[in-house]
Amino acid sequence: MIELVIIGGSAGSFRPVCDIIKNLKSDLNFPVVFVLHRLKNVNEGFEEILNINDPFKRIIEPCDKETIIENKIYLAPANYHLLFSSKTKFCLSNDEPYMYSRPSIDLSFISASKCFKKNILGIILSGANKDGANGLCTVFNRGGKTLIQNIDESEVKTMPLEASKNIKNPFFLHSKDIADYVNKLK
Amino acid sequence: MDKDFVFLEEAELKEITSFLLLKFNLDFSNYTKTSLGRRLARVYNLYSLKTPLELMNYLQRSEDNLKRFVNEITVNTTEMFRDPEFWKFVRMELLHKLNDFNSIRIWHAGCSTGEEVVSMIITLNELNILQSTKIVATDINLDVLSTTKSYKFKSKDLEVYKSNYLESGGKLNFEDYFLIEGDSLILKEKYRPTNILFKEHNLATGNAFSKFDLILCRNVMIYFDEKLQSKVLKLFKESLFKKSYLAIGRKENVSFLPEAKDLNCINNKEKVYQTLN
Repeated sequence: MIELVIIGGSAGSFRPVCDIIKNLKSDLNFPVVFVLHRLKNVNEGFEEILNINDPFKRIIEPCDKETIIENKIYLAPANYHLLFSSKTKFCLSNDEPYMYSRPSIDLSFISASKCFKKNILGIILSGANKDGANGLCTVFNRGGKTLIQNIDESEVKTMPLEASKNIKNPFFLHSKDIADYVNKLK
Repeated sequence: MDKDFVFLEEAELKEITSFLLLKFNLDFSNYTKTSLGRRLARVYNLYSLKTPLELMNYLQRSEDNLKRFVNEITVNTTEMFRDPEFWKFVRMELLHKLNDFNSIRIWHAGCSTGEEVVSMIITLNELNILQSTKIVATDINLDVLSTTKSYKFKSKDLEVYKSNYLESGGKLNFEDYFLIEGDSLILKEKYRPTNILFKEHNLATGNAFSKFDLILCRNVMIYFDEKLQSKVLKLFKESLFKKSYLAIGRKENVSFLPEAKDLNCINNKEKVYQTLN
């Protein structure tokens, strides 16, 4: 049973992120969390651009200790790390960047996998650095599901390529098919 | 190859926190477990430690080790004019709202290495109220307080600070505030306020010591659990005049705490609260 879908992306992930959000169904019974490298002081701008006129798809940039609600879409706020204290509570941190990144995809994925164990799907999209590779590997090692954007189709290939290196038989999907896959998860 | 530690397991965390309390009277029991687990893992990597026992031995070896450890656990990242939109609000609105614009009392609680304090000094200077404002800067950590007192910053971050400053509504030449010496950025003497006090203060154990018109405590309480957050919020309320202000980090949230019921959130985006009459 999947209780959380967590998606990491960096350079070149904007279009796949939009595609995924647009095509997610509105009655998912788990939360979907995006951890994206973003410009430091661009705060609500990103949320507004991504906002789609479906109230179920309002993108929430959670505050520290905010309750995690199923069927909501979350985005890690700029300039903070997004961690998980439990299956139901976020924990933000102001720690130094990790893998040159804040938010760091690795920290979010590893923290999530500690709380959700095998009941999680981790997805890595296009990006220009190695952040996310360890995180996805941790999700995999703890029995969670993993999915990587098709490398040929990724605008920037480093991140999906690095993420695929530590995973046995990595599962790739074209970004257009990712939402459909998530929609069918139970 | 040894892999880096990313988070410590809860059992290890428990072992270490109870050791710190028993042996050194350092109380981390009201810190958020997830972020403390991350900070301790970071210390493990820094000092090449692998087990709680190795950390305990390291801490008992010398007082310097203990001091370094406390610094690593508590010191956090900060920058001048962090969140420029917040500083724009301070410059354009908040300072103008204060009870007596000409004699303002400001407390920087958890001032770390002073980047926030110098951002305030620059903002006050440009509103021509620097010399009539009383500033108190406190931190738990004496080492970072002495850094704050030296008004010395890293010049490698100059470009970030400058762009933050401009975005926050600063109109002057940012570099004019500083002397650049090697890799240091030093606030010029003439901009250093006379009416400023640097003071050691532990938010977890300290009491109210004065009254203020504005308290800034940004991204400090984020590391505390609800119990300690409530305690600190109570301390802040005792330290504020009526109709005075508290600013916390933009993604912190105290609204759900019972202690917050007599605080009015005047800017939800920048998380600025006001005490009632």
